[in-house]
Amino acid sequence: MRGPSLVAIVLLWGLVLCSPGSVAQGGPPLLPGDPEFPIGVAFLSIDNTTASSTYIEVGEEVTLLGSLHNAWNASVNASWSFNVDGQLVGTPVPFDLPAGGSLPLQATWVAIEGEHQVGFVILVVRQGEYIPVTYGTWQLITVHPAPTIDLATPLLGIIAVVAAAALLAIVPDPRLRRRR
Amino acid sequence: MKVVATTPLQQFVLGVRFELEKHLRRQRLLWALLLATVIPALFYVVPRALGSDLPADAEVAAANIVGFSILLIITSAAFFAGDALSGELDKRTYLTLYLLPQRRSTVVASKFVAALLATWMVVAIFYGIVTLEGIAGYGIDHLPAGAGTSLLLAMLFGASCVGLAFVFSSFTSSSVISSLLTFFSLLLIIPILSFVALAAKNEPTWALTYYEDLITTVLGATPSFGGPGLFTPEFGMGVRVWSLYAIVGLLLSRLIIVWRHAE
Repeated sequence: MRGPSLVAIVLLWGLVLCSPGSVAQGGPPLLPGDPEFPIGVAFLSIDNTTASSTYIEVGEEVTLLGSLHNAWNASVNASWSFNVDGQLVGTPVPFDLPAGGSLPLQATWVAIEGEHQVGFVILVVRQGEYIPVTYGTWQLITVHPAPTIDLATPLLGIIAVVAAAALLAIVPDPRLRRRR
Repeated sequence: MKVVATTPLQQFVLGVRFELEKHLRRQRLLWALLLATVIPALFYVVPRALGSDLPADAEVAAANIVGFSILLIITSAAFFAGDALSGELDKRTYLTLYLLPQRRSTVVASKFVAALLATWMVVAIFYGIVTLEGIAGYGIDHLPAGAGTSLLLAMLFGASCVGLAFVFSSFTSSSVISSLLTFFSLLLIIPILSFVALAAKNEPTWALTYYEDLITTVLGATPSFGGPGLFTPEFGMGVRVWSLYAIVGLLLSRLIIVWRHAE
C-alpha cells in the first residue's frame, strides 16, 4: 500500500505544480525578447490605479481600481492579478483583450496595518507558473489602526487636571525664601 | 453687594467667577466664542454657496472642520491664560491682589480654572456647531462614533495648552511677551522641534502638539488636506502627555509665582 500511495502523492504534487492555476513567483524573470514572452503583452499598459478611499483602517475591505489597455494590433491573452508588497493576492484572472481594447480592473483586499505598495500586474504562464511581466502604477497606501473610541481615558485626564487645580486651591503655599 | 469668602474653597470659587467676568468684560470671551461659531459655519456655508458638494463621508467632513479647532484652542489658551499671571505684574495689580488675605496658590488655581473653563466653553460651542452641521448635512444617524472622544481630547489638549501658557505667564512680567510666547510656542516652536525630531526619525513623544492629530483621527478620518506621517501618535500616550503638561504646568507656575513674590 505504501508504494502506490507515494506514487499517488508525487503525481498529485506534480499535477498541482504543473496546473496553470498555481501561482509561483520564484522563477526567472521573463523579459521581452525571450522566445516565450508573448509579444502582445509588451503593448499592454495598466493606468489609473486608484484605491477606494484615502483613509484606510485595519480590516477595511479596500477596492483597487485600474484600467488595462491593449495598444497592439492583435488581441492579447494573458492574466492579471492584484499585488500587495510584491505578493500576488487572489487568483489570477485570465483575459483576452482585442486590439485597441480596454478592460476595467477591480480587486478587493482586506487591509492590514502599515504602509503597503499595491497595484496590478500582468502575468503569463510558463511551465505552469505565473510569471509577472507587466506592472501597473504602484499605490503607496497607509493602513491606519482602528480609531480608539474611548471616553474614559481622556475623561480621567480631565478629572485629574481639575482635581489638581481644586487641591492646589486649598493647600497652603510652600515656604520659599527668595535669595537676596 | 458685599461678598465674604473666608475659606480657601470659597475664595477659589469667587476667584474663578471674578476671572470669568474679567474675560467677559474685556470681550475676549466674546471674540473667542464668535470665532468658534464663525469658523465651522464658514466650512458649511461657503462651499455650498459656491456650488460644491459636502464630502461623501460625514467623518471626513467633521475631520476637515475639527482640524481647525486646534488653532482655536491655541488662540484661546493664549487669550485666556497667556497673561493670567504676568498681567497682574504688568498692570501692577499684584500689589493689591497679593496683599489680600488669601493664598497665592488659591489665586493661581482660580485663574487656571477660569482660563480652562473659558477655553472649554469655546471648544464646546465649536463642537456644538459642527454637530449641528453634521446633523443637517448627513443626518443624526451618520454622526461619527468618535465625536465624544474627539471633544474630550480637544478639552484635554486645551488644558495642556493652558498649563504651558501658565508657565510662561508665571516667569515673565509682560503680558504681551507671555501671550506671544504661548502663541508662538504652540504654533511654531514646538511643531518645528517635533519636525526636526521626526526628520531624525525620532518620535517626539514629549511634544504636546505632536498628538494634535488624535483629535481628528478618532473621528475615523484625517482631514482631506492632511497626510500620513512617519509615526502614528499613540492615544494613551497622548492623553498622559496632555494631562502631565496641564498638571505640571499648573504646579510649576504656582511654585514660580510663590518664589517670585516671596518676602
